[in-house]
Amino acid sequence: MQRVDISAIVNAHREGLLVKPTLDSLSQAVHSAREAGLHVQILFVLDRSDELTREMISEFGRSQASDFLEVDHGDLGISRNSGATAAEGEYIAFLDADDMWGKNWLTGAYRAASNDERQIVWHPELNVYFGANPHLFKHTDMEDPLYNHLKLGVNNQWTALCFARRSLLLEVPYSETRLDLQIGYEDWGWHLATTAKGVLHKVVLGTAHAIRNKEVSLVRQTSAARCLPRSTSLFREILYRKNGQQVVEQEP
Amino acid sequence: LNAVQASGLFDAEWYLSQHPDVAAAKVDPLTHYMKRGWREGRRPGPAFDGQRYLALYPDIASANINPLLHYVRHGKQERRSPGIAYELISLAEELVENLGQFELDIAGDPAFKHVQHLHLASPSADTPLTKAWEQLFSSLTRTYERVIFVPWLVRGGAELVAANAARAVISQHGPGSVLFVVTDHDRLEAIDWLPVGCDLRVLSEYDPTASHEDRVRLVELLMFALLPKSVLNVNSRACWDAFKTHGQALSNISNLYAALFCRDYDDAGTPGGYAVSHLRTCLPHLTKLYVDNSSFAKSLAEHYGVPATLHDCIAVIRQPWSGNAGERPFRQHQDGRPLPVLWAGRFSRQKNVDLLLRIVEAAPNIQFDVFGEGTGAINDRLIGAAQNFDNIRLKGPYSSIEALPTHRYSAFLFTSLWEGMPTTIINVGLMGLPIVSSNVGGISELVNDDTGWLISDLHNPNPYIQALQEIARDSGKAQSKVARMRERVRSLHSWEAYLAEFAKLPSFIQ
Repeated sequence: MQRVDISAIVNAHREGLLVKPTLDSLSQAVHSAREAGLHVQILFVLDRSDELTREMISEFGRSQASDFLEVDHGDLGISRNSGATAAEGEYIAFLDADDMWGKNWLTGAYRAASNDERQIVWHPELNVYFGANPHLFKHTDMEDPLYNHLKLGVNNQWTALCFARRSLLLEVPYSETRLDLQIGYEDWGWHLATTAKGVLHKVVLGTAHAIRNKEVSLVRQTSAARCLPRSTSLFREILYRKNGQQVVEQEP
Repeated sequence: LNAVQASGLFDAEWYLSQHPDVAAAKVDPLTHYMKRGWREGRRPGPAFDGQRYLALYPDIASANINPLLHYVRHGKQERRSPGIAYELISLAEELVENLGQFELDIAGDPAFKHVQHLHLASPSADTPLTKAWEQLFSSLTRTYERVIFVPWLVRGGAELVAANAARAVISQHGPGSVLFVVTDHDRLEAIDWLPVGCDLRVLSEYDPTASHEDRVRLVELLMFALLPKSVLNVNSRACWDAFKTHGQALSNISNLYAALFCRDYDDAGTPGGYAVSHLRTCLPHLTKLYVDNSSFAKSLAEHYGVPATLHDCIAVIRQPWSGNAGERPFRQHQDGRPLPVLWAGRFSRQKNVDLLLRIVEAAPNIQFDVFGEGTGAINDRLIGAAQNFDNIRLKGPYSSIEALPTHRYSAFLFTSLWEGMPTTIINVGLMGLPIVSSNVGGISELVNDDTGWLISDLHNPNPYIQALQEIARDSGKAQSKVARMRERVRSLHSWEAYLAEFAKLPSFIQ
């Protein structure tokens, strides 16, 4: 069996016709990666998708070899976990089915990742938000002097469209979103959880994504439900280290 | 020129490469930029965007000032944005051009015609909140399993309750086991009430002008970072708002406790306070609500129709008397001399100063010494009364009721319109001064016909005066009531009884 370098996992729900530009950007980035000699698996995870979305993605599958996984989670983080479990690649790159990758994302991220042995989650340098309230959003590298962990407590520092080793995603999976318990922001929670494990979050210079800002987005629903991210022992551990104490406790 | 050069934001080589006409003219690039370039909207270097700077700040644009010079001299200090780095603009432009071919929401949006004018968000940028949070967290040297939030540290009953709770935690878990956080104001008059070994943080020390929203976030961040087993809110507005907004989320992290004492009332007599504005939303997320008297617990349960499953959630913990409130004699009344009466409290509507003044006016044979302070109209009325009547003296502020010379008085007069269980009554009861009190809140749990004089007509001076006259007439009766009151305080309000009640599970201190 051929070694797969990257599994490009597209998480779909009910995006309908908005899937088209996502698929175009996926095709373009995968094509660039394959031209650079990388083996890329395309894996769609359809979580409670509607007919239209399923049809759009099936149509894509007729022209490009793709794998499909139908799940019934109703939860984006858990769908990403299912994708990571089913994926064959050494690395995983996540794409939500209404967002878009820049052309050089897979090649750039793979190059950066394969040149650094450390446990790292890679993010693009820049995000262009389009749709409602167009703006730019710059990611900060954890090794940038401007960054510190305390800022990650105040704000989420990165978007969810990351690039990471599959083994890391299996070791530290995303947590369930529980709006009823005011636990949300699955990506922020995952960034806190991976950081607590000593994983670095870094940016791939010269790469960018386009993120669709919808009037009703998951982030807005999460914010309306007055959620916080899942709690983390990250900050307690900082205090333990400061105090010379041994960290003995379990993740809450 | 020197300042601009030293800033590093002017890059001569870059300037010439981006503006070939300047290179061709063979002029000094910095001189060109300072004289003409900035007026022509040219970028002085990859890290400064003058056009964007002037677009963002119309006050500078209208003053026709060189944007780079302004940034170097003032803008940097004023925390203005130097603009988006050139590399980022190029990156965004490339992405917009490339993905615009797939997505009309990008290609067709005029906002993307001038990418350099878009807002650039950066989550790692410093804000007053991140700076305050970084300072606050950096000041911590250890973790805490218990955190107490208070609005301020003035000499009030609620602050005493919070200080007692801190003392109780330390008695169980040792020094450094509790973090005491002052959230809403920077007043710390009662800092000496905190027990030794109680660590204190005052949010205003990290940002004196912090908004209420930022204070709420700091409370949440402290809980999110420390993951304490339990937190106790004693009247902190920031903490009540955190409980109200994120009660469920915070109760996933810690056991949430709160203390309430009574409802407050405004000038129109409308009930208010956290019992009205926050409790119904928050109670389901609280492990326990502590109140200091049964009457209030009963009234809350009845008023809100609290179901049986939540009844255990409201616990009565009677506050202990002060360690300085030892037994003392009171002054026996001497015939022919005015009865010396002590009144002490904040000069506020709650303490019903107006009734006090009517009593003073109607009872010229009784001498009233008034301890306390206040502001505004009530204060003015008291000062006016002291000038007009011989039988009232204003004695100024006091640190605690135990510090007053109670042995010089024959009675303690308490006129409040609403209360929980005032610690003043507890301490006066133990010290041994006949008490004449309004029947509000939980006071009847201590003061009754056996132990003092309880007045239910809150606005009529006559029953108060009659009670004081009875004390003057019948010192034997006053003596026996004082003795029974002492006994009652001893059985209900000892430190041991308080600790035993506080330790009942689930408990903030266990």
